[in-house]
Amino acid sequence: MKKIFLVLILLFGLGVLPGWTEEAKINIVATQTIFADLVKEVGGDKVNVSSIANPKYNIHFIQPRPSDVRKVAKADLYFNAGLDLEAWSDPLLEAAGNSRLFRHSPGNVDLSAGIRLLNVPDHVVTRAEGDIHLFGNPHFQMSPENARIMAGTILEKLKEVDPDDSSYYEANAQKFLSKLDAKIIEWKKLCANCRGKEIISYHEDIAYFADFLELKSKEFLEPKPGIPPTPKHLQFLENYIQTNHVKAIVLPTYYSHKEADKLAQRVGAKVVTICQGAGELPGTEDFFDFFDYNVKKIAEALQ
Amino acid sequence: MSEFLHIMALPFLACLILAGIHAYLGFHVIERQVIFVDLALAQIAVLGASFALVAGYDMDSVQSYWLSLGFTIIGAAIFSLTRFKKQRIPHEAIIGIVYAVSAAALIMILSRSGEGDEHIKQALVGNILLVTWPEIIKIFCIYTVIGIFHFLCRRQFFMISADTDHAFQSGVNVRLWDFLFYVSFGFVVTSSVKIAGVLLVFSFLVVPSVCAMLFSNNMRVRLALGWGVGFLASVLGMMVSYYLDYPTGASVVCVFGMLLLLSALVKKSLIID
Repeated sequence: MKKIFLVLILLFGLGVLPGWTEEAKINIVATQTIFADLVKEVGGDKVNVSSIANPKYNIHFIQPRPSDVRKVAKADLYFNAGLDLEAWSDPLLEAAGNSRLFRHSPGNVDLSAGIRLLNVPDHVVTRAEGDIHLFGNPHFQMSPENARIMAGTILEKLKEVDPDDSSYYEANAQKFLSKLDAKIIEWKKLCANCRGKEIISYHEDIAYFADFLELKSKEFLEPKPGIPPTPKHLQFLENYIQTNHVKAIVLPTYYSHKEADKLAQRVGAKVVTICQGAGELPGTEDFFDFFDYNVKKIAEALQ
Repeated sequence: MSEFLHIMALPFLACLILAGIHAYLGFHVIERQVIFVDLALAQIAVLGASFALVAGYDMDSVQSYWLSLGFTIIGAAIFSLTRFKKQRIPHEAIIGIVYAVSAAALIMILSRSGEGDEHIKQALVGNILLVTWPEIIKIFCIYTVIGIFHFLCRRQFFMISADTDHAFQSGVNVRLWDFLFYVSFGFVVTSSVKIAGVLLVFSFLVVPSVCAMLFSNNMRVRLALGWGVGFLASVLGMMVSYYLDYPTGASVVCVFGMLLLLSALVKKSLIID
């Protein structure tokens, strides 16, 4: 009985407001550019998407501007990385005062849901270990495999808030996923030779990317997360790189390249810029371009 | 317009509260020629907080608060003990040294602690756009208490700031009052720097007083003018930040700069007339 009622109400609503339902788009804010791009893939022209964090800056420390507060105040949905990645996110949501989007509200979508997290601490974490992430490594956007799960989360949410266009969203998601499947095979093939090779990253933001391409990543330029390289640690890395024949040091654009360059010069390794955000470098704005770029760069360096 | 108010009301309120106490304190700081004392005290307070971090306490914990307060008091003691009747070493030099040494000590401690410096950096940067009600209420209470204290002891504070020699001669315990001045001052800047960052706090402290000095020697007039400048900079800064979409704190600082330039031009045209 209830269901019939719901259907009746829905039909009635559609009949009365056809123009409105056609034009109104869902307003969506994503914390990161790559999330925004995924939402666009699934939402197509039924959604208005914008992002907060400029990919040229470290995602941990973004300073939101008034336009960001305004965007969030108006948004219907807020897609974010959850965990403890975007420290500025909760204060931003609070400043915007849009209670639908607060943490644990239905409008606040945690894209880490369902993702198999890496580097989850297996013990009680103390401050002595640096700026460690309590829930596991939050840089999960770096594996294309995770995009499958994120696309699923996005699809479910869009269907929930806009059930009328369910089939449209499903078709978009399907299209995206089949392209992704093909691309994943292509990327793995391109890096087939790299499997098992070791890289050194500045920050521990490469774990998912390394996992995807089956690269080894054990040591970092930071002696502990959030702490710039010290002379002793750089000396340790110099020996480590030589004994283990590490060929590449990877880091995004926004960390200091000085130490990496110096180290690479001494041991004859290559410094590779691997983007963390879509649009961090020109030509990486789109989800697929982003991974095309990163995979190509790492393949070149490790050949 | 309602959207402007919705987003900028809290930052604006925070700016007004900051303007109130800092324009007043800035008057003393300029008279005493200890312009950078706020940076030095903020740096010392952060050094104290870093010790709490090393001991395993959070930046927002009670332990961290008391440790940074304790360090601020040590800083106040240093600044009041290095004040002599015949000042051979400039006081500014001591302030600069305290700033540099505590900043360097901070780097050393953090490198050993394993705590990333980003949390600490946050304590010196702040983002006034995202200020919350509890923070506003907290600074309002702290500043009110300190404002009342300064009002009650205004005779000593103003006498020392305006004419130290006279204060020494008339038997005022200059060192004790200096100590109380720097402790209360440290209290204020430590709380405000957390919310607004060093750049903005420095501007609120110095620019209103300097603008006012251009136009009057009278203390009351200068204070009133200073508050006016602080208010104007807050209003214009919020508008620049909102309508042109710039970071809020930096917008207010640059508006302060423009206002000072404007004041200088007005003053010049007044003289020519």
